[in-house]
Amino acid sequence: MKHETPPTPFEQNLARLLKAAAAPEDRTAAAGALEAVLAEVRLVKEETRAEQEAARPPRRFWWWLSPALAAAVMMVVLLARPWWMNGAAPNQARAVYGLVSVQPDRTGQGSPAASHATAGDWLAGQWRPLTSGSRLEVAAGSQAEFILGDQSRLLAWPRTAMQLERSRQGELVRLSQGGVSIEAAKQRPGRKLRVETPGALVSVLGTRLDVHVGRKPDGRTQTRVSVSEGLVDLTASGQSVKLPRGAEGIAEEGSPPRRRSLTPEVNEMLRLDALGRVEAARRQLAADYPLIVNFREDGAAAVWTVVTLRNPARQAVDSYALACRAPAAARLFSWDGGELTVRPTGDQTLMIDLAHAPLAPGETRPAILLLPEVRGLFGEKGAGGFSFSALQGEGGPALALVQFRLPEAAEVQALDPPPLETRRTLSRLILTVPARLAPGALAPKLGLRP
Amino acid sequence: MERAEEAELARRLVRMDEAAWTRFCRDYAPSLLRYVRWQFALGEDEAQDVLQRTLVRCVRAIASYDATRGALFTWLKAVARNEALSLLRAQGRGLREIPASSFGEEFAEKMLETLDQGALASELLARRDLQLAVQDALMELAPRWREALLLKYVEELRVAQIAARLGESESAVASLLARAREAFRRIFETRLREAENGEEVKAR
Repeated sequence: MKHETPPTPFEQNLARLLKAAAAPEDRTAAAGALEAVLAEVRLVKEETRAEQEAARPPRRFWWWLSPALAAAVMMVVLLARPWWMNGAAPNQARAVYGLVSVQPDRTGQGSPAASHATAGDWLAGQWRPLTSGSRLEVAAGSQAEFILGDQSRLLAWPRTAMQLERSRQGELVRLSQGGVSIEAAKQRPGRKLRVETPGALVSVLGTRLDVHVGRKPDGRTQTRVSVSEGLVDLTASGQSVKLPRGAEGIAEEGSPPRRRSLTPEVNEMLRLDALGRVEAARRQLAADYPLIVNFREDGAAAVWTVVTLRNPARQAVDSYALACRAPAAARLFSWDGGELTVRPTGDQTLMIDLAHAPLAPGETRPAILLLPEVRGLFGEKGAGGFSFSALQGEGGPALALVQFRLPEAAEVQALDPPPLETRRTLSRLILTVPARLAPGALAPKLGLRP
Repeated sequence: MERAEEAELARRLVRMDEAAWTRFCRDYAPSLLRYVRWQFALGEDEAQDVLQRTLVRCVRAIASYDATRGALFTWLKAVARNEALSLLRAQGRGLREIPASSFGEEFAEKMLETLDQGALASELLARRDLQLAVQDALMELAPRWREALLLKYVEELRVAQIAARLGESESAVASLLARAREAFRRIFETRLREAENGEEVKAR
């Protein structure tokens, strides 16, 4: 063995730096991913092999039977109703940036000649016609956009695999991987734009939405639909849910669809409501709606509360005036997670648009109200302390869950009653308190050192 | 040189060569795990989840990696960022991204000076941003250079042992180590000087 020269200060420091940055436990922790990666590698190999085998025979067929092919193309041209007779333009597509691979139609829907003409790898550039049935793969770091025959616009995200088809029921997007943002055109009667994913079907009547297909760690496909405008129907395992604006639908292969809000606090309010009912039943009290108070450093707070919309009239109403002390930036959410359209009128009244779901005669319906900036909840108490005492019960004794969200560094000096749940996130300390509300009672009390 | 070796690895990955994928996971996964955990302030389980999703996603996406445009690890970090974003979004949370560094010109000068003269203090070595900068520099090296540095300075093997492990002569390994050290110093210095003063920000 050769004698090695003693390490220089740089080498010694290099060793220290590398040891600090390359923890051996990370190697062990990361090794777990290898199995999943190799399984995916084998799957891709199998898929490639299957695709190559599927692609081989037709190619020979075209070569040897080219006169027959010409005749077949003529037949298709003569028999098929061209797009201008259907009233729908051909699909168009372009890569916005990056690379899109287009594979020819194998469903027999479109014209094989046209389909082969558009096949290949497309770089970012001009719009091109796309035959119905073509399969597309958007590469990583790439994006592609489409105008469908009904003038709906699609934006496909990186790493998306999809197929565009057309039928009498309307345009069909088969999304097998990745995601698309959709701006659906108004649909003609009897037609719908549909997005089919493994395990779910999304039907669109004219709206804006995102559809994303991913795979869960257990291998099941998960479809997520988020709606930014209009109403969407999500069907999976034979069950449907309607998704309003601001809601998200989740369908996992083999399970019925779930609905939740795109706004996390709305989901939390619904969770607190369910938890509050259980807690109230346990204590033999009536349950009241929950409240979230999200404190800011300056003493103001965003407050999430529940208001009840009541229709005493004899006919359904599609708008509702809610008296509210701080209407300017208030937002309102329905119990199914969607966001309602509200308009402040200037006289401390919020006009709520209920056109999507009118309030029936005699109906009462809870809605979740966000007041983004509420001041005056706190009274200064002594040396920099604050106390909170804003709740007062209206009816008989009831229990409501109140969730305080505080800056992570806040020091809670007193909390009465003690919290039911305590949670810490990266920036917040979250305390959920079971507040017993009764006439004349002031509860709960929170003493804070700011 | 660095990119050529990565380009060759990427070509083997595109061909779905299982040995290449095993090596890819072994070489890149630990650093990626650490990056994901720190950069997005994720818990251990979440970081593992993002790591696995990222690596699995890479199997189908690797064809899009272009070695002429940057290091494989840089590309990998971009994929990981998307996966972290989609995971957190699925949980109704936003991505909290912590800037990779908060060095200043003065810090960089002092650091580079100490590298050649004194011993780096342990509180300095514990800094998350510094560890990320080291890791970035390390991951930008050609895989063979990186391996040699890790064998020598982390696993503390002698040159003869490294030579046996890599199937090279001792003099070839000595020269490999010298070039690797020089390349590391160059990249690390660039990283330190490029970094700007910054405070933690939230990107949603």
